[in-house]
Amino acid sequence: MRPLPLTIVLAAGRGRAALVVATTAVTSALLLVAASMARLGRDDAWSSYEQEHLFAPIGDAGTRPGAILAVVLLTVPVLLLLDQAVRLGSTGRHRRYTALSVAGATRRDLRRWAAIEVGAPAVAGALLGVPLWLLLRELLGFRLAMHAGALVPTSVGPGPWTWAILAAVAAYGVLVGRRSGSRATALTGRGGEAGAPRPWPALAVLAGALVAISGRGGSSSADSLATPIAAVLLVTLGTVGLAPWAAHAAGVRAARRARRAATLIAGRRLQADPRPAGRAAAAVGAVGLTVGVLGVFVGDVLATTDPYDRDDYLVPAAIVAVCALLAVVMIALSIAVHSVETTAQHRREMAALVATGVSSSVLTGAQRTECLLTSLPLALAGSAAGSLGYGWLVGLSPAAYAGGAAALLLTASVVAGSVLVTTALVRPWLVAAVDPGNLRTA
Amino acid sequence: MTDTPQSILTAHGVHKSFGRTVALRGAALEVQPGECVAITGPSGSGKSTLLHCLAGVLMPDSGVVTFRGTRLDALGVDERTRLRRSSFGLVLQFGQLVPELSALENVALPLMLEGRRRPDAAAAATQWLERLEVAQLAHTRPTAMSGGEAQRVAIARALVTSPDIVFADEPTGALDTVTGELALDVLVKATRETEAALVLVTHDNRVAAAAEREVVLRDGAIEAAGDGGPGEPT
Ligand SMILES: Nc1ncnc2c1ncn2[C@@H]1O[C@H](COP(=O)(O)OP(=O)(O)OP(=O)(O)O)[C@@H](O)[C@H]1O
Ligand SMILES: [Mg+2]
Repeated sequence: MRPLPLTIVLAAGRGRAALVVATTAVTSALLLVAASMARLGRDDAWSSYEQEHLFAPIGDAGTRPGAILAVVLLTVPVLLLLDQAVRLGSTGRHRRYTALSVAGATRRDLRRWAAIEVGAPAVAGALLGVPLWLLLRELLGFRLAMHAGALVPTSVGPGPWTWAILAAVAAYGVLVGRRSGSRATALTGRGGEAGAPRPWPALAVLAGALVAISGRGGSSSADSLATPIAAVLLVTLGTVGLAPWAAHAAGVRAARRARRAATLIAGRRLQADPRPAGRAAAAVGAVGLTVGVLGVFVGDVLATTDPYDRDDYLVPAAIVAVCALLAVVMIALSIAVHSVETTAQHRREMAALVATGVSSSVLTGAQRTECLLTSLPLALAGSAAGSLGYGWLVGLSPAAYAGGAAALLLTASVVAGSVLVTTALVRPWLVAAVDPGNLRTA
Repeated sequence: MTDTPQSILTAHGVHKSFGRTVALRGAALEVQPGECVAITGPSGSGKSTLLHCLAGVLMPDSGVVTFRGTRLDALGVDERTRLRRSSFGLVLQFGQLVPELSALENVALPLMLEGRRRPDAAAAATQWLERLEVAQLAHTRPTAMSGGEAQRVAIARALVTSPDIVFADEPTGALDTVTGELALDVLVKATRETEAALVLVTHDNRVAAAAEREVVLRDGAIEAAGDGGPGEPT
């Protein structure tokens, strides 16, 4: 007989389990990379920098916290996809849990099973993070160091601290599972709407700005690191919290001014369900921030560095940029999937709409608008904030401006491009959801 | 062709199967402008399938459906969509309004797609909501409406484009008797006023009695056609 946890995991679907394993593995690998950067500080920074031939922003103890933060922020879109994976097929799960509870399972049993459903693959993923990290260390560490600056420290190997990170990732997976369990076992579904999001997280952004301004005068070296990090964290958390409110506001505004049916539908959808789009947009904003910083950095390198040494900076920067932009594609996919799920939930209404003469291309248009309405402004804002913030630190020069502008353009076009591509990719599911067969009264 | 010159919609020899299930085997029907036809028959006899074929939502496997002399199967998907939007209205049993949109927006939507400016579309939608006595729900979303209210809004949406013909599939099926009769009265009265034809699927005899003509479908073919009987309203 199969062990019970395995049976539970398989009942939840292989695709879902695979997605949970993949996202937790990437998260744990990214966190291990970030932690190995943090461990660098224990040795003399400059010696390790010289020995390892690290990418300058990572080797330099002054900018390293920023690099660590950037790696940690890269986990945000991955965790978002994890969240989406956990929600996938939630109607089927609800039905299964109802059947189990009729068969005598208590709600505590169900919550425990839900925790196992997500937790077991999450543990496996967290463990897989170690070989993935070692692979990254080989490719982006040892190998890259031969041609340019390394992105992953090579002098830091596994240690007891590795376990702490693995435990944290696994615990997060179990937590997410438990939460989805209480959602799925809740007697009343999400029939009523949670109220409109409130703009309170703006206070965190404000606090972050105040910290940044007050910290500017600070002189002690401990201060000089703690203050910018605190400021960035406050602003980031505040922005993430603010994003659903922004999505809601953008939806209301778009719907009110809409001239086209697609915009009207998109806006009202955002208004009715702003949280998933808002969270995704916040992640896009975080990526925009990274790309914005990179833009100024690259502009600065091009203006000030000897052409002979440029590769040391440009190759790693390009790799980070590619990772960041891949993250955008992933986020766009998660928004598009969510939007198709919403359409599928209301497939009867949507099929009726198509039957009354709304072509399915209007619905695709609505989907595109819904995705762009929140992610594009946040991508632009994040990118601008990253450029200006980093430029402010290193001193704004014409080269920095040019780099920032290029980053802005790049981010905007990648966001727009990936929304177009992903909505086109999920179009077959949308078309299936509006099939006239869904009009049947059965 | 054998079409009577004045009929606006004709169907001949319509066959439709879903996998192995044969839903329609040679159904035929003609609809005159402004008339009200009820399609009745036992469950599973193919009423909904016929209605969807007539409305150009489904394409028959064989057989011909024409609207004002144009074969629906000769039109491209987009042209058919446009035809449905401008000339047909559709009312279903339940669950047809976009849940995120208010009543007013739901009714204005087809007009916006026709290219009407939003204020015009909203004004026309408001008029229809008033006519169906649900103007107070203009800014309410469907989830907060009763079944009867939602049905009136759906009727307003079907009629707002001044269609030539309205198709209704058990429009009162999900409502209690009194609410259902009210909604039906509203639908019949409104189509009469706008001189639109009404093709009504139902298995409720009282509903069928409200029509001028009743056709009975059995096993995918028209079994009998006749007048609506004693209940015909004056
Ligand atoms: N999309 C579909 N896929 C498979 N079978 C279908 C589909 N639509 C209809 N059928 C089958 O075709 C037959 C006719 O169905 P239809 O819905 O037209 O009947 P109906 O007369 O409207 O019944 P009811 O009064 O119950 O609504 C049934 O046997 C049904 O199962
Ligand atoms: Mg039917």
